[in-house]
Amino acid sequence: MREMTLGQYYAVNSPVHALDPRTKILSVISMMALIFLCRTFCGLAACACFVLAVSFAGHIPLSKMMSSLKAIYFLLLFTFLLNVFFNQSGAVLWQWGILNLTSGGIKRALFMALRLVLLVTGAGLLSFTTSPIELTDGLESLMTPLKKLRFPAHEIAMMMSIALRFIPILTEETDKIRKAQTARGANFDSGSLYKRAGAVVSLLVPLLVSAFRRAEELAMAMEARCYHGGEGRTRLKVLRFHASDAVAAAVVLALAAFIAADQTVIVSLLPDWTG
Amino acid sequence: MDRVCVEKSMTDMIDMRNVSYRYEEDGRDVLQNINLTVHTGEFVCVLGHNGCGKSTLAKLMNGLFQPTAGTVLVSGMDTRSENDIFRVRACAGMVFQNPDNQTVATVVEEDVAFGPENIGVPQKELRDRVDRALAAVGMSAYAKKEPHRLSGGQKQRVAIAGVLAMEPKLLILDEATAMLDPRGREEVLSTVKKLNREKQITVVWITHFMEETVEADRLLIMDQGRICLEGTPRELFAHTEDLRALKLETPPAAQIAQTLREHGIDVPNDILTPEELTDALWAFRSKT
Amino acid sequence: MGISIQNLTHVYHPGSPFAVDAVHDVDLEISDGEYVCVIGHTGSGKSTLVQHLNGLLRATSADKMEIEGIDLLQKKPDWRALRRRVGMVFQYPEYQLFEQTVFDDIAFGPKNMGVEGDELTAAVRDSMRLVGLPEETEQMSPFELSGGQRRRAAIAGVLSMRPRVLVLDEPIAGLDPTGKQDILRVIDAYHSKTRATIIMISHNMDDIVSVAGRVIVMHEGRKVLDGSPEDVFSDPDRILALGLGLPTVSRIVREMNARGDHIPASVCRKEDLVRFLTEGRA
Repeated sequence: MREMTLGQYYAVNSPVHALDPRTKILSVISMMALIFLCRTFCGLAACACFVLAVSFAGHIPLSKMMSSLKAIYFLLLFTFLLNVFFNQSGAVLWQWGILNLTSGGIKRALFMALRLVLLVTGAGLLSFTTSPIELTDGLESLMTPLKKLRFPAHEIAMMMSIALRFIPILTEETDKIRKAQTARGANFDSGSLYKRAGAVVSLLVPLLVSAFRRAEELAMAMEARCYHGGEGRTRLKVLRFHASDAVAAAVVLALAAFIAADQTVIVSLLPDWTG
Repeated sequence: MDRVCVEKSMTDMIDMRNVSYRYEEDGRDVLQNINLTVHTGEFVCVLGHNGCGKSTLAKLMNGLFQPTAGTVLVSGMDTRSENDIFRVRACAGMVFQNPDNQTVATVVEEDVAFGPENIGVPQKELRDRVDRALAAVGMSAYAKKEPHRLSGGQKQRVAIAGVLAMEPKLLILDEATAMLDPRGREEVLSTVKKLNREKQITVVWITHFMEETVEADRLLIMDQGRICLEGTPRELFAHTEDLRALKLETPPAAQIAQTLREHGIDVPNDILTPEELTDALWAFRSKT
Repeated sequence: MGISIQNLTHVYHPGSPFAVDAVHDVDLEISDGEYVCVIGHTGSGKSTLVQHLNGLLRATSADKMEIEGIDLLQKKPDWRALRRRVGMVFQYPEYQLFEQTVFDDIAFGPKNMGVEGDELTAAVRDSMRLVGLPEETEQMSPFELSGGQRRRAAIAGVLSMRPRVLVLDEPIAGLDPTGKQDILRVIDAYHSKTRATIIMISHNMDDIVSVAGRVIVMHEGRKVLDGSPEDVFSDPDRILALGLGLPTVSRIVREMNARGDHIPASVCRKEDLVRFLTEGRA
């Protein structure tokens, strides 16, 4: 009831957890780009090594990493089948009716599936090792240059942070109103659709009223504490890069260099594997 | 709190002259012709039933609302002056009723820093201010905690720290204990009393609990947008009938003393606290 | 029929690292028509305990759970019957109002229980009278009412089901003195009119001694004291050790006795004090 974790944050102390959130956000974005750009198994293998190494350094158990794939099992299967049967290059290995299984098709399908797995687990690494608050701080800092283009960076970050702050409060409140209406005979789990809709209204209306009341009071309290937007604001917590962030950046750069070399050098020497 | 010990300077912290307030232009006045002076270092309590205008009064004191008529001066600054508005709000800090609806950040110390961040306190000084504010309310150990895991009393102390970090001269608490259990109420009241006593912070304490007001320097009772009674707690709580007409009551010890008197037990008629009643009863028992 | 509970234990998130033992091994026998106050500070398990009385929470383990003739340990208890018999008023109940009119909101409970037509209208009007809401508020939006009226409308929405057991979690929190007295009077009127059982969680010891026939003290999930107000408060040091406050009269009696007087510790109401001082007996 009181204990709930937000997002997927896996709270342990590790060198990866200790990195500046901006480093992690930028690294994950770079890695995603690399995974997309990379056209060889060799390059993907390098990316896989990177993801495994980071999860190891971040003390994230393999089972946790795999659990982030749960949501995409179906998509994974679909991607694989689609590629297997729609790519008809290479030697035909097996045939049944109009379906041809080719060596090129299998290669292509494996490549696409692996790419998808790496994308998801790579993004998972960010949410496992960075708390929602750090993410918000990191995003605000990264978006700051956009302020010149009138992009509301501070406002968006403030909204995210207030949303984070009120999620546990509103969850508790939902639970309470639900109980109160259940005590008055509302039935959320069974009964006719009409009756259940009535029960949901009895939950949603008070919840909305309460959310608006809270918003109004919070706005008043923020104003009373001199809030007037991001202008002229200082921050208690200022993000600072450390030596470890430089190391992380170097590792990502090395990965990028490897993949670039892999694309230009190896690909030019060998026949096109991906068909 | 003890009026003998605290040196009160004669400067006025709040000066309200002929203040009226209405929410809509053609609406009724929720405050009518208020004249009120709060002196520096004073502990003033405001009582009144729901809807009597106490909250509106509080919001006029730090410029959240601007008077429809009359002037409000906070430490000499007019709350209508746009140049001074943030100085007014930093000087007259407010704590509200619902502890959950006034916390902005997801970490205690960042919430405390919210006010000073808004007024642009340099980062080096921020750290220092936050630490001092948390220490002043006895919450240093909770600096890194998440606000929603604290008790009600602790949340309100964090809210007070958030105001203290702006280094105010005045603290306005608008029913800050209404949603707390007895332990939380005691925590908050004793914290504020200490700030008033030791740091000479002026306090305006709005409440429904009569027993919280007995040690105040001055008590204001509001009804229908006016200040209808004003005086020391001892003076005002002697008028049981007047209070009842205003939908209020006397503190518990005073109620007991009155029942005792009605049954011929000779105790003074200006008793406010259990301690005073005990002394009176002890004297009574020693006599008989 | 009453309430009969044996060895009730409730654990939040059982089996998880967040498991919290909220209520532990509680026995509870309450007869029809009792007025019981449950005290204990935040986190003592009192709210968790009372939420079992109408099945909002189910026991993690219990040897007996019989409430108003319904056995809650059977596979499929009749929840609707139970919730009709046991009404529950939560903290700040006015935040659950949601219908377009006060009438509809008060009718929500009985309607869910299958009450219709004239019977429904009568149930709603009766409870409005009971809580002192004037008839002209009937067609108003609940959000147009004053704070105290909203609280009373919300309580009327539970009373309209005519519960035989009325459970209230801090029903007077946040109200001004008159508002508090109004609510306590409503509860008292319902109790004396219907002989319903009242179970009220409260922090105000002065109120408790003046209304309750029985006081139950919860501490760290266990029931530590159970008896008449005189019994429970006659050990003031125990109450203080549990981190709770005393009724004002008990505080004074304790201090007097510490100075050498001999006032029976069971004196906890102002009437008791008057009687002792004038007649020399408690």
